[in-house]
Amino acid sequence: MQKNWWKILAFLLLAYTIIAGFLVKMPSMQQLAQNEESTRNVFFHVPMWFGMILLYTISFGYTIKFLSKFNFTHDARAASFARIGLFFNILGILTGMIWARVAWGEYWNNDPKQVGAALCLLIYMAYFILRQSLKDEDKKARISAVYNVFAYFLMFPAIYIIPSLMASQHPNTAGDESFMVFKMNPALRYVFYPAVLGWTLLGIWIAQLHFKIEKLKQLN
Amino acid sequence: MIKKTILLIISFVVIVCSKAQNGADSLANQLNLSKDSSAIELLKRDGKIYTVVAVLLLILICVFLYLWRLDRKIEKLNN
Repeated sequence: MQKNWWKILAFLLLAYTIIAGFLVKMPSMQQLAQNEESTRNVFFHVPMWFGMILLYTISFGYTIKFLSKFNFTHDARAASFARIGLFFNILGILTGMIWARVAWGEYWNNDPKQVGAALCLLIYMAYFILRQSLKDEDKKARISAVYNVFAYFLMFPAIYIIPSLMASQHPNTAGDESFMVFKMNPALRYVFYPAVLGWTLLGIWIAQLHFKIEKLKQLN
Repeated sequence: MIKKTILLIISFVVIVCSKAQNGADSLANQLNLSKDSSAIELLKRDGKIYTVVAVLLLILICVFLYLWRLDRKIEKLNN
């Protein structure tokens, strides 16, 4: 139980997210008078991306560990965390598409951030294709570790830096004319940050389960 | 094993439903929401958003319970 306290914390944080996320009064925004309630998606869609970045970061950390010590356990852990990060990436794109249909009119608007997110998805998918294409364990671990470093540093330009410079409809970008939820109402942060932590902890838990299963597979 | 799991979930749902009713009752009393307050009364209020919250919480509880059990099973296999 003492080792598992963070799993209970993840549950409590997510329960809090659901309760507060649905019941908190959203600030009224003139630009989005009709979409006011849909901005609750900030508590559910955006944490997918924050969770994804954190999971990819953990994967990156294990990759660096592997490259410095060549312990294959680290490589397996890096792969597990990247896989759950990929899962969050897909969920982020899908939830974003549902929201985009309501807020911007189309599921896919070729918004710079959408394209960047898809690019990020492809980059990390290539990581798994690379892993599966190599049979030799040693080669597989080394080459995919180097690729993972490359993928991690390509993720930031893809999902953050380039879209920030372009005319995107997302908040905090050059073309942003829409709502700035967090600038308008800092109180919403009290729901948002626990949500990010809760989803990330859940992701870490699932990644650990995935790692344990992979370990069992290798034993058999 | 699947049977056992399904039974577990069903029994859990029943427990949660009965407990939630008590919890919602006292919550409604504390907040003085309505005179003949009950869980159903709470769920019927306003835009009925409490119903959605209750459903999502139940899903969350079941997912976490399942994950917890899975974790235990894999841990056992690992040892």
